[in-house]
Amino acid sequence: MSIAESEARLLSTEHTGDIAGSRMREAFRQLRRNPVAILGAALITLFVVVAVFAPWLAPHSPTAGDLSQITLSHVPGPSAEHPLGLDTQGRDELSRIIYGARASLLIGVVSLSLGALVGMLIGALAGGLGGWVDSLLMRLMDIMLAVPGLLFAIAVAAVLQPSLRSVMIAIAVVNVPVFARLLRASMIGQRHSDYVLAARSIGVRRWRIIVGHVLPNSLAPVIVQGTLSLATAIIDAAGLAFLGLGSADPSVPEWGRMLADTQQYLQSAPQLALFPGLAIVVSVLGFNLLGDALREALDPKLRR
Amino acid sequence: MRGLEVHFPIRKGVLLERPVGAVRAVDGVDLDVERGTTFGLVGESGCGKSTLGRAILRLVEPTAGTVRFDGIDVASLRPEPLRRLRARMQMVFQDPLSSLDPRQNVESILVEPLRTHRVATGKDARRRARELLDVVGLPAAAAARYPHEFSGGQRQRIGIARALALNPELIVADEPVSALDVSIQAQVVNLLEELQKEFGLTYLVIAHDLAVVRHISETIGVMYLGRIVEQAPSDELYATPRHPYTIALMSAVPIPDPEVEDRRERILLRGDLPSPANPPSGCRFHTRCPFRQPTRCHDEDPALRELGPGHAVACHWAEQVATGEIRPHPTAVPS
Ligand SMILES: Nc1ncnc2c1ncn2[C@@H]1O[C@H](COP(=O)(O)OP(=O)(O)O)[C@@H](O)[C@H]1O
Ligand code: SF4
Ligand SMILES: [Mg+2]
Repeated sequence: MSIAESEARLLSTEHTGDIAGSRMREAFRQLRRNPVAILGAALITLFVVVAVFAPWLAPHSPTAGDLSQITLSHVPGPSAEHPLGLDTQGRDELSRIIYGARASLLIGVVSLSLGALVGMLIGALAGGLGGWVDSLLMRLMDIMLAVPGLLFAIAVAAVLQPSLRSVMIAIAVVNVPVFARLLRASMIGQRHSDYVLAARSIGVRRWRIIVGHVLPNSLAPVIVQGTLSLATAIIDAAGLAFLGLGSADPSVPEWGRMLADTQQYLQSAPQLALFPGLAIVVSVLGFNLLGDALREALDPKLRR
Repeated sequence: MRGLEVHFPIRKGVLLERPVGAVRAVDGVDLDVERGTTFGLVGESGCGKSTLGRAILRLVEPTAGTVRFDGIDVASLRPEPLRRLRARMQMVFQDPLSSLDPRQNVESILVEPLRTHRVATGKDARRRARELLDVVGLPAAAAARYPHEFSGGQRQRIGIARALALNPELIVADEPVSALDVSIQAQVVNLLEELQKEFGLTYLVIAHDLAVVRHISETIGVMYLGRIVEQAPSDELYATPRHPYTIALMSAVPIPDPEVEDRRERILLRGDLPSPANPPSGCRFHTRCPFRQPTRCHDEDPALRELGPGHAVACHWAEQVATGEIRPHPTAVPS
């Protein structure tokens, strides 16, 4: 309490000046001035645009290839016709990278939304109701967290038959306890704040306090985590695809599988490992950069 | 209020929590606040003032005792009647910023109590919000702004406006000015005074130093480690403090007259406030009391006794201290 109090007092002297707009708007303004945030947002935009407009951007079909030019010791490199060369099946590498963004984005967004939604529901119940509901749900989350994420995802993907849907469910499940615990902790922190006490002293009903005051004020860390978790989801999806647990149809371009498929060609065509690797790094980096910048903007403690 | 106790259980355990002890934050307090008057509650930080104030409003559950408000037993009220009663008793908080939801603008903060109790909605509520701003001396333009845009003093005015929204009868003000700059403390205290006159409010004002409550309180209670150790009309408490703890507190308040200031003794309290989880035996103040006697102090709990009209003290030796028969120990009187 006293830490929160002195913290708030510190803030009150910091912000005595007239700052227009809400705290959210203030955070947004700070983001726009932060080069890290801008770079992150630019990379994410690039990633999303490529994924959404893949059919228009890709110069060739990602699935039809010409095997005649391929041997184990020779895979054609970049040329005017194929800027990134051909893959081991004679397909245009650039087009496959472009289409690969679709699988990444789809898996990332769907699995994360699902995981975050379920996790936040559990977290809100635990943090809002407290008591034995909280204890029970959190012990459950502890058990889920005790299992290593990727290992768990592998198990789920293996049990459910390899497919994009299995990958999404696996990654969603891994994310559930992360978001549940985060939202709960954040809500419990808010629940003991003075403005909640003030609302109680006014006679505001309990569920209204939880939904109207506690929850909205607890979302900042969840937004940050969501951005960072998207990065993790993309890596996990690539990892699962690399292990052969991705889409059931091998012709669907996925960056993780593209990496795996080039293993025997590492000597003759190292560029085939480089390009999907780069694509993964760039998209992951975008979400990580934006996530870190968001954390800084939303958390007054990290502000300078 | 009678025999009020608030104990916070100290819990331990990994899977199932079980109480292993209790923080006796408020331990057997009786006090009466007369309608239309101000009761000042003073004591060191951590002695249980906030807990007492919150227990009166039943924002924390009392472990024992009764709180009567206008004949209503607050401590045993069921949730819905309690919720309705809240309209009649309000609270002003120590830290004005943290007591305001950062995502609500001022209008929404002021409309919330009106809407909660269905006093006013829509346009009426918004008009009332502007009225309230006017009452606490803020411009109507403040309505659209957010708490972080204001100074500390302005924020406390918003907090006061919210407390006034439902025309309460009792306001518990928990250290309403201690988070504010000294230069604006007086303004806020004056505002509270004016509002009391205008609306006939009853106040319980909590403070950690005597200076703040002196002028606005009819009666002052001095609290130490969960107990009231002295209670008296304000002027009398200042003129003739009887309890050793009050005497020590008073000796720390500077006196404007330099001659008196030079002559008087300063009694400094040594050591920290003992833990309320494990209060000292006998008189709770005996571990720090400069007047401590070899008998009774450490093994007999002093009751709050009436020494004069409306003046009660919880010290075995209050009479002897008053007559000067017992002097403070020299070690406690540097300079
Ligand atoms: N919710 C709580 N749980 C456990 N202990 C508490 C709680 N609230 C207050 N306390 C303890 O009760 C004592 C009195 O606190 P408080 O009423 O805030 O004192 P004051 O307002 O006089 O500074 C302190 O020792 C504090 O640590
Ligand atoms: S009873 Fe003894 S220890 Fe307690 S205040 Fe009086 S003189 Fe001091
Ligand atoms: Mg306090």
